[in-house]
Amino acid sequence: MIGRGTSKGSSSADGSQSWRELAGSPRKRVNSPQARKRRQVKLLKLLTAVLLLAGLSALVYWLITVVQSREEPIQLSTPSRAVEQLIFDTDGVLPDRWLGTVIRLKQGTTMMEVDIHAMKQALENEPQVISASVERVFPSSLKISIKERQPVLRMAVQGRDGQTEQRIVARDGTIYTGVGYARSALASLPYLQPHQRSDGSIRPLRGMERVAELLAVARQQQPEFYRSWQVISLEHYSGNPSLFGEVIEVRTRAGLRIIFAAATDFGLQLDRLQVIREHVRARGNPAMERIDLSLRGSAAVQFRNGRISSF
Amino acid sequence: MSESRVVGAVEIGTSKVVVLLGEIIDDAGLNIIGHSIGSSQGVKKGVIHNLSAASDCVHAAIMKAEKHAQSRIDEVYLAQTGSHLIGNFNVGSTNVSSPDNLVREIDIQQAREDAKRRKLPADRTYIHHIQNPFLLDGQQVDSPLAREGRHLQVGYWSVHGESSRVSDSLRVIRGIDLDVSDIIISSIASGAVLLEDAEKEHGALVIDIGGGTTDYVLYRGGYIVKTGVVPVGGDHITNDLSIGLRVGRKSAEAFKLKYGRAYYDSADRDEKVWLIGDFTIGDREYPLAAITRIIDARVSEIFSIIKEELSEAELYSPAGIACGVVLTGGTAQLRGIDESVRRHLGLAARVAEGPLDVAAELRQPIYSTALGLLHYALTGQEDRQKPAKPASILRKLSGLLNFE
Amino acid sequence: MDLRANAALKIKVVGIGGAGTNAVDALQLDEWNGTGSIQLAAINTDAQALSRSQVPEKLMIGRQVTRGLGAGGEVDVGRQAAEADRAAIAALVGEVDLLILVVGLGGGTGSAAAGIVAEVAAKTAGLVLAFATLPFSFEGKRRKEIAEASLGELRQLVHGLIPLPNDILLQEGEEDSSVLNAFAVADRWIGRGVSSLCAMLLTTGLINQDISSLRSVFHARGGRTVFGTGSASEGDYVQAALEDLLICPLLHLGDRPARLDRILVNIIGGPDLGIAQVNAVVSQVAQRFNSREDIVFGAVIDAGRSAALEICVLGKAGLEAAASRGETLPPPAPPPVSMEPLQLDPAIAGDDRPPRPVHQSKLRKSKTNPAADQEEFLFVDDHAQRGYFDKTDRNLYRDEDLDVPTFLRRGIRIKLKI
Repeated sequence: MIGRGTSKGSSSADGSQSWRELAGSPRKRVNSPQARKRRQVKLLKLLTAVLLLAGLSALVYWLITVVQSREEPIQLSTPSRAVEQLIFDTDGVLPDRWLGTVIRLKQGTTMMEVDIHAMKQALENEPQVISASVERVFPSSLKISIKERQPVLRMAVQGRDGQTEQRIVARDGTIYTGVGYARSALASLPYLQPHQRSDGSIRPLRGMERVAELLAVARQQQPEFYRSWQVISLEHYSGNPSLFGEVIEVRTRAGLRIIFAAATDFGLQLDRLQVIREHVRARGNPAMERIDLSLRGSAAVQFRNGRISSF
Repeated sequence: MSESRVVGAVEIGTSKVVVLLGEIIDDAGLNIIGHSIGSSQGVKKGVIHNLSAASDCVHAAIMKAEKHAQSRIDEVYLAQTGSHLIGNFNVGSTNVSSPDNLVREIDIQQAREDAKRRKLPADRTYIHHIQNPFLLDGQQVDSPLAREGRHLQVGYWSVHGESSRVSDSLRVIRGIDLDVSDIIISSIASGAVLLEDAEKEHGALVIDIGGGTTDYVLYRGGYIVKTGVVPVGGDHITNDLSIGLRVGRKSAEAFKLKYGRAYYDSADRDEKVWLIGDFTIGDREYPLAAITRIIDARVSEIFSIIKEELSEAELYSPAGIACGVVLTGGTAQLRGIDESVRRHLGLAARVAEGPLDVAAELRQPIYSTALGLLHYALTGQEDRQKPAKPASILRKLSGLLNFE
Repeated sequence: MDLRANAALKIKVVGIGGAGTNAVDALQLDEWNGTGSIQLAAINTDAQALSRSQVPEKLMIGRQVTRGLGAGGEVDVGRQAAEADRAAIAALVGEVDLLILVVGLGGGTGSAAAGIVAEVAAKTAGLVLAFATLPFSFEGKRRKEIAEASLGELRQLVHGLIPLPNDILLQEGEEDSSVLNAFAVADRWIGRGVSSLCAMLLTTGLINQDISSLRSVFHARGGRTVFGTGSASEGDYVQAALEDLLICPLLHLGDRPARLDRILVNIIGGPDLGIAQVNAVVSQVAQRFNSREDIVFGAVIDAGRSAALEICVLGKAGLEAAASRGETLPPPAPPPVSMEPLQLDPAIAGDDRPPRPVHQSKLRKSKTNPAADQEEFLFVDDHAQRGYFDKTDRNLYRDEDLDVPTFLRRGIRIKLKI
């Protein structure tokens, strides 16, 4: 029974090395939502009490001063004009009307009221923008200059409703919906097949600079051939070129697959590729399936008929 | 005006957290004004492994109980279990100081102190010193004061535990800005409240089989002579079934509750049971013998370990434990567990029904430890500190601002 | 232009120590000698045991150290013996495409030598798998500790390590289970695993897989390996074999489902095995697995069987993509990419043919949602057998880990088949 009954042999915890000595240990707060709530409530009560007291004393003080002096303060204010013009400057393709969707300026906002910083933040939040600057140009204009991301590749993305949309991939790996680009400009970009990580996620795209470099070198050295490049596959490229076995795969419109090593010089690899293609063409141009430039030593070529040769 | 304080009994178990709120009036009467049971996370085998997860659960349970009782807790009584708790029997002695050989208070103090002076390793702390009978010149006496004799001895059953584990549980309670008035180990809490005085006098063994641990306490001649913790509980039975039957934990738990029995019977060989049992496609049949054999092995092991520990301490004797075993805890509800005790401990057994002076819903085995804590809150240990500090101005003010 | 020739595949099964040699002796692999070769070998310190063995290639190690008498359960002795004959071991395991080590851990030779053999093998270009049995609980703490240390070491050195705890195997034995039966069960399961691999690699099956599929599953060292087997030979043998596989205790030792990277499932049937039945097995297995996995199927016909089916599952769990691709092979065949033109809005399409579009949800971090309803497929964990208590400290009570089920520690046989 609770509380009743004799207890022979009382028990206690006094003496040396008792747990009560642990009681003095430093209070490291263990936070849990409930504990926090309790503390908040306690704090709230304390705050309210203090505020009440403060409010009361403030009231008293005010009454006293008002009773004593009845002078009126002089009004002084500098007139500030409303913003009338927005000057928009970009190093890329974003149109003027785009600006209006990102920045909303209320009619009649004055030059000094405008939140420059917030505008800059809003602009830089847009994935197509790398950096933005907003300046006041007196008497009534704002100058907005932005630097845009340059498209390097594009990617087909399936939206939630099943519709397929196109996204642009920039040199630093950012994926964004391109605004303002001419169709012709995009048509020359190859498609990207991204590297899938082990849990299925794709962002962020690492090591895109290397890929962009490959494209740049190819476009420069072999522009004709580069135009036939349709898909860049990063299935075996996780973005860390120091890992063994990182390769970038290119698929041409003709169905040919070329495998580049991510870590070695692209110029050299492209040179060798050219040699191989000329060599093959000279021998009657049998259809090739795959050219692997990433092996140490010689490159391997697999033909449609199944044969494999090395160069 | 009567002084009332609200005490919270908190038991942080492996599978559930139990909180009981009791209002103690004038240090004399106790009313249970609130209770709650919450799930427990981050606790395995009675010991806290994940402090933040455990705190969340404990704090939630405490808030729920306070809401139920519409009162704030003034002080907490905390239960403690786990295999890190070890007990030793220490004897202290002294020679009677006065020339007329009458025992005085100072002699008793001296003997007591002598018994408690044993040093522990740096990472352990004492939790209880439970006094056992005095021996005056070799004769057992309950109260030696003013009796004649030369040599006074007193034995203590001292329980100590790992400092880090104990302070972890303290931190959980402090995390919600409550102070712990006392720590009581689960076994003696349950024992105090489930046994009648007569049973304690004639010898009884209380075994509390929880989710993660099994706590036991042995009474003899009215004194607590041994406590212990076996780090095996209901969770182990479920795990054994899970591995043995090759099913997931939830299914194993279902089997245990539906078909489990603490001992194997040869008649089980011909019985089969279904996993889901309602003609679902893909349902599988299992032999009942597999289930009971697995449970039998585990349960018998628990009791064998207890018997071994008692024998080593030379405390195992059916005659000395005349009132047999009282079983409590969630796993005590397993069919046939009293029979298993009979077979493996050689003692009569009954499943505890809970103290009679408590509401029916609180008499379930899950509450026995917490009720024991309330008992200790009321009767106190020797070194009970002065209850609640006088209300500070801030408290009175916050009382005014009580919105809820 | 020089051509790359397809060399015949070389497989070698090596038994290390007494138990390992016995297991290799029990193997029956003649049927699979097709377009490749299987060689059996044994390494031991005990000369007598070696001479009794039927294995064609034998290597006695540590002649100076043990003088042909065995290591006597001493790990240090076993290690010295192996060290002394490193070169001979290297000669034995070199030039092999697939090396399968079989060893019983806990004793002297097996536990120590296995590590060194694995170390030597790791330097070759071949794929290395290992089957290792672990001692019974009743054999005592010391053997258990030796076995665990060895297991940990081996795991890092080989591509795939399959632990076979004797306690569990005992449960699979016949009615009058004795200790010898556990060994027989171990031999039988190792046999199934090895013959499944040989069948898959050396014969052209209904669904053909080759060494590159195996390599793609086991390309990295370390991590957990999953292995399970089931078989049946009467009545509705397809269904029965599946049930048998799912109830295989090696697949049910942990409470947490592991994330599998890739699994290889191979089935061996008789000439009456048709595509329809194979499809049935394929779809059922794929259904019971967590759908995130990549499952590779192989199916092989064995003329000697009829109306029987054997299923073997082999896979790797839980290593992140940080693992390196350590071979200089041409990249493995990538999963098929559909290149059909999409019905895109004409403003975008033009004459482009974009690749397989990426689903929008994959651009953000995706959550895995495990199938909640059906019974999840549970997989083996590292220090298996402790199940739910796996992450906690050992619950040692007088040298016994109480978290390990009592019936396993006491060798009480639980019969599950009705």
